Amino acid sequence: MSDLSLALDSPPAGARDSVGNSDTRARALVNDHFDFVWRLLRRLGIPEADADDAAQQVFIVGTRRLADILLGNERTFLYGAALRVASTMRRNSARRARFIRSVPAESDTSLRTPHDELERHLALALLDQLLSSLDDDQRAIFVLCEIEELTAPQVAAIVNIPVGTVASRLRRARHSFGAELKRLKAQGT
Amino acid sequence: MPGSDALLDKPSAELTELLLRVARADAAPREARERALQNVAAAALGLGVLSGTAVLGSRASLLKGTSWLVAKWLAAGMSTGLLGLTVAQGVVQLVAEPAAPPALSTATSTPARANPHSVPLAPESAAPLVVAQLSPATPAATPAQSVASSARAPSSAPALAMAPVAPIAREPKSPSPTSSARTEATSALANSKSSLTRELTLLEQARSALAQRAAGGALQALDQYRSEFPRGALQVEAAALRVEAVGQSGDRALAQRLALAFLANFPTSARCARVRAYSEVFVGDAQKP
Repeated sequence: MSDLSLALDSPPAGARDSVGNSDTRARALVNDHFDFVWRLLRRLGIPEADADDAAQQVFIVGTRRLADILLGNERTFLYGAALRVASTMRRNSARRARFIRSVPAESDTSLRTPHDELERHLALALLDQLLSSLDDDQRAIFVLCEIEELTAPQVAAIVNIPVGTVASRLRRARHSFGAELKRLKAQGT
Repeated sequence: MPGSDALLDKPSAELTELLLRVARADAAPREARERALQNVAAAALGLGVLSGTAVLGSRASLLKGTSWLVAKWLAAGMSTGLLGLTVAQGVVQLVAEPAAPPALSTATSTPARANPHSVPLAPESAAPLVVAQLSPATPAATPAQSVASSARAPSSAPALAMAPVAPIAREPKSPSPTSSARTEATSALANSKSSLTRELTLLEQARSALAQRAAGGALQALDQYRSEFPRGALQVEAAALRVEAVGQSGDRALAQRLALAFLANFPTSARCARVRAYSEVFVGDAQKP
């Protein structure tokens, strides 16, 4: 087994775990954090049609690196992975932007009226437009604080920056968000 | 933004709160979560396959450099049908219970290269999608200990077949397995892994070519895939990639037909959203003056 591990390009440390343990922890990773990762990816600018693939990539990376993720540190790892996946996908999407369009969600729509659904889509589209006016750092902090409703110390731990930096980025992000909203409202009237 | 005027009429504070509330409630589609559960099970299995290699005592070289690919595409197979699950179940059984009867025989261990129902290779011939009819798991199938619990229900497996091909079936579990049966199963597993690895490699080539906007290369890999695996385990993935490749190559009409055929044949596929997106673009193009 050790010989085989050494032969691999990136030996997964978790290979020594039993399949059952890896599987259980991997499933817990998905169950506990899938919505977090999904929302993060969506609000970082990944279109709905691509969000599924992006989330899968994040969790497969997470599973592959399971042994490297300290207990309680899952969100930090997933956040980093999501940022990288989102960045890569945005780059690729830019080249084929014409081919990818947001499509209605495939689920969770049965309980909503068409009006609710339309308003939800419009609201999310408007939110994404506003978020796109923020720079990447501000955007991530805004999403974690305002949408995920994490505290500044929690965000600081996830992003690995000082709490003060979180506060200042959030302040700037709120300002930019408000300014863009004001601009759009003025444009719409 | 068209249609958002009513939203923008709301006071800023109220609108901001509304937007954030909607975003906080934005949950992932159920299918995406289920697919992730399947994928991580397969990825965890990938780790297990490595451990299992020691148990199997052979084919170690097969896994070098391909274990990640296998885990990734095995997951894709699992999300689109039950074949991947069949393979996965066998591996889990072999790895987690080396003393237990392996009792599996995968479809990929049965080469189908001389299939008389294979279709012409040229994409410009409006080639229909060759769709294997994946048989649902038999009621007598052994419940997999870790993978099956996250597997999609048999009823979600694509049941339509555009070409009348033989169903891919699992052999019934042997009631009294012997060591030779286990050897046979191990050999079948090794063969299926080899076959699956080849399928994965071809589709990965197609995907990479697409990412580099090399539609010709992607179509070549997909044609090769169809030639070698007319009843391959990853045909749904191949069909989805073909839609994109044909679209990239500029043949929008064919791409549109393939997209519609895909949506009709695989309405539950996780690839539907992407294929539908392409389809809408093609329709939009066709309506332009």
